Amino acid sequence: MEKLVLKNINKNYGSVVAVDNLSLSIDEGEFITLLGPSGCGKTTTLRMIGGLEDPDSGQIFIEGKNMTKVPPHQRPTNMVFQSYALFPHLTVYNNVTFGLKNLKVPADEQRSRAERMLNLVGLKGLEERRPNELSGGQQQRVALVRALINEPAVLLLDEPLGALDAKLRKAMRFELKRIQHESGVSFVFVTHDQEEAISLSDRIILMDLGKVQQDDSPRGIFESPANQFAADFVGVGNSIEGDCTEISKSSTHIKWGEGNLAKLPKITGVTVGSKTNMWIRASDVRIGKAVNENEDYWTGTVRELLYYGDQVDLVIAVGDKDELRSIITADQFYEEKIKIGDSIKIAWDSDRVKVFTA
Amino acid sequence: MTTNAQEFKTYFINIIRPKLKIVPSLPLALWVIFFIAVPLCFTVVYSFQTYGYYVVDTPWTLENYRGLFDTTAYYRMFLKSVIVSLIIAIVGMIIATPMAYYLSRIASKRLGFALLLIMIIPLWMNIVVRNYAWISVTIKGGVLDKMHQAVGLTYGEWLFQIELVTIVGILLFIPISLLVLYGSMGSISQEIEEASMDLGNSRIKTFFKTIFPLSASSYQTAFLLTFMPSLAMYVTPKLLGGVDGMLLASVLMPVVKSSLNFAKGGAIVIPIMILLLVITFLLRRGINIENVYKAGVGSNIARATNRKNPLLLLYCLVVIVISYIPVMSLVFFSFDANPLAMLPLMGPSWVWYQDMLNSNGLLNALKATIFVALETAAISVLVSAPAAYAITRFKFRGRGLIVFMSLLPMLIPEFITGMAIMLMLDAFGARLSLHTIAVGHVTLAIPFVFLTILAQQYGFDRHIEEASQDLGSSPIAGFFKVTLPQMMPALVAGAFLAITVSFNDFAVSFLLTGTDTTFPVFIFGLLKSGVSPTVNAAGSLLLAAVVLLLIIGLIRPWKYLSFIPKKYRFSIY
Repeated sequence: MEKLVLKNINKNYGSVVAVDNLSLSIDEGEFITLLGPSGCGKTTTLRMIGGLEDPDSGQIFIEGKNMTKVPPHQRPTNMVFQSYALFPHLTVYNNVTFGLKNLKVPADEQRSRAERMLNLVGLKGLEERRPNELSGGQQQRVALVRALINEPAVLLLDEPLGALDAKLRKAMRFELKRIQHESGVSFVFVTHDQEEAISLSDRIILMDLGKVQQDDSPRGIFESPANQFAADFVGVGNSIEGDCTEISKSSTHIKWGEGNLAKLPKITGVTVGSKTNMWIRASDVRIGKAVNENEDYWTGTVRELLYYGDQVDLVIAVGDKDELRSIITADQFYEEKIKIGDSIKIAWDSDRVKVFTA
Repeated sequence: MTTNAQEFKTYFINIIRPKLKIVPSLPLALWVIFFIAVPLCFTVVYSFQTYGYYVVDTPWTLENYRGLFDTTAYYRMFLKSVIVSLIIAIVGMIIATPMAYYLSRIASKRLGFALLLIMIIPLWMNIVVRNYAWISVTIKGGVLDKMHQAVGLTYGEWLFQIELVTIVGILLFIPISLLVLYGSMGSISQEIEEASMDLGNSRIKTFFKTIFPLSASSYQTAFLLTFMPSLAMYVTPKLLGGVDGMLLASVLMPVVKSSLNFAKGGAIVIPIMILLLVITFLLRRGINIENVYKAGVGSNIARATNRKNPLLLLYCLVVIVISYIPVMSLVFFSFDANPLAMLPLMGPSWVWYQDMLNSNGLLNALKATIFVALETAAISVLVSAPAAYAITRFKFRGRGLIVFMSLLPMLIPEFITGMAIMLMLDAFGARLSLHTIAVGHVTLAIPFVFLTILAQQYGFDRHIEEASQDLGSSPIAGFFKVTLPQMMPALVAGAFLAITVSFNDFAVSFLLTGTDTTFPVFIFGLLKSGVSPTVNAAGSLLLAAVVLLLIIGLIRPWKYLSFIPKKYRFSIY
């Protein structure tokens, strides 16, 4: 059953288009992420779902009911704010039961639900603390519990991990995932962190300039970017400018760099003579001994390398025009004793290449 | 729904609702218009009319101005006042600079804050008491005289000289400069300074290349906040200046207060107002909410632990000791039996405190002062809070104007404000009473109260209001459950500031008082008949009350009342 449906939502701030004819629907128990750079309209969309902003046009249905004009306090949604927005003058317990009081839940039920939820996130015993007596991670959990305890139809999370340090951020991902499983509530999560989006979501809505760029599973987003923006935003990749020189029944030839030729499978929408951008993920660029004798390959020079522990990220110059990134395993790196200045073979599987017309 | 109703709804949402956003600011705007703008218009008009037997009326005339410029006396008085005020403002800032630097950037946070507090405590003492305290120090036979004798020097007469007026003026206004500069210097990141030193500048050069230019607009603020009030300083010249130390306000007060010659008073005031307008325009960068806000927030930078500077600490202590000499001597002599409040000591005694308690006039005056202060606090918070609320939340036309209007009373010397209000009330035939004093005090207090609430509301996370609605509170319920409790500390602080403004004021009380006298006016009256240890006792008590209030405010003893169940506890956050 669809928990949330957005239909043709538009929102402008003066002459700035924040959200441009956006439609999407979310199923029960789904964890979806609105992913995109700052200013892409993801937070505005989230706030419109919560009723904190009014769309200029379009409709919002929650559990089948039209909620477009309903004020935030009458919507079955709850939000986890980026700044947490805990009430500084109230104790943890009173923060957590704030919404239940408004729902007129009996006091003993409030207590048992608060106890259960605080247990769920490991905050038992901190009921009488004030928000400023808690660590960042604890505040984050209080904010989560305060929203979730009301059993909303949809839980809205506005970059909830943004204010935490890197280690805690990663730990909280597991916790979020677990809480979502246990509660069965639909989550709408906003972030600009693609790694976070990919690891947490059932589905990712990739946004830019107020529009949905790609609505796909994490795997789809990671492996098959729908357009240049999606390709550039997710993961480390190479964009190589080229010209289409030949199209046959089964293949497309693209000339790039100084006379290099890439033979790719047949690509629709590309004509002979059109300018193209070939896009290939850095981890799909094979080098050195990983290149087979009998496949097409090119030769480049290692310019820079960054060591990540289990991986090595290399910058390889091919001719004067192109620099390619390649990410290889540390094992291969040590085995082949790769140094800056080495001349090295480069190849890729042609079905891994995405071509976008420039 | 009929189309008419729908049309009206759209019209209401798009046209009327945005205009309603200005409504919460209207009380403040109207107050400033009615008690600053209108009175000043009256002042201008009166200055062109004719005075005769306590009434001012047509025919229109330039006689009042001609009278001023006939002789050089007014020129000289004007010039003298400007020069003295310039010295007070500039020397005050120079003295305050190393202190502000040390307290906000070098001393530990605790020490810095403690010393700052000690420096500004006298601001909460009434201006009459603070000036009066200097008499017993500088009078012949007083502390300074005896100190000279002790080391075998002859003591030149200090009292009733313009030099003393200037020095006391400087000392009176140092805390204000200090507060403004402390806030601004305390908000500049330590790394800026470290970067400058890393790039080869000495510590002193670094100060002039980074901290000073970054505080430039705060220096303008400090200048405005010290020059303006000293230009119309009345109490200090009156009590300590004698004939030599007379300044503009000394001439003005009898003209206005005794002979009700508003025509001549207006003519004296208008050139001052023009000068103030010019200076305000030149230093408009200093009219900056942020600077005042920083002064309220204080210093919050991280401090490098390796920076100790005993020389600067010593300097701060010296300034503090000098500022405290009169206050301490006031307290000291209040416990001595000598009826002249002078050396030699005649032994410890409670007699002046008993005297004070037996003096009906003084107790009544204290009561009147407390009444006025509370009325001032209530009204100024009620007028300022909605405006601050609206300004931090809504965008509307005239927002900048409202902020400027709220600051206006701070830019006009209180003497002139008081006189203008007095003259307007007189024109409307209103009777002077404690309420009219409160009206004047509210006008003085509005900038402080407004800025306090505004600053707190700027720092307030707006998301918590959204969170309360998201969690099911209607906007009105959310206001009472979340917004109001959040505003409470600022409202309390604003009320507290209003009380201090009211306690501190003399000029407005003196001008707008009816038959009742307030404490400072009463003491001022007593002083006409010379120094009195009873006044020492009253001043000491006032100081004790201020210190006690501050300590309560800082330590918040109710936090320790843990034996009382939480729900019965009065909560201030």
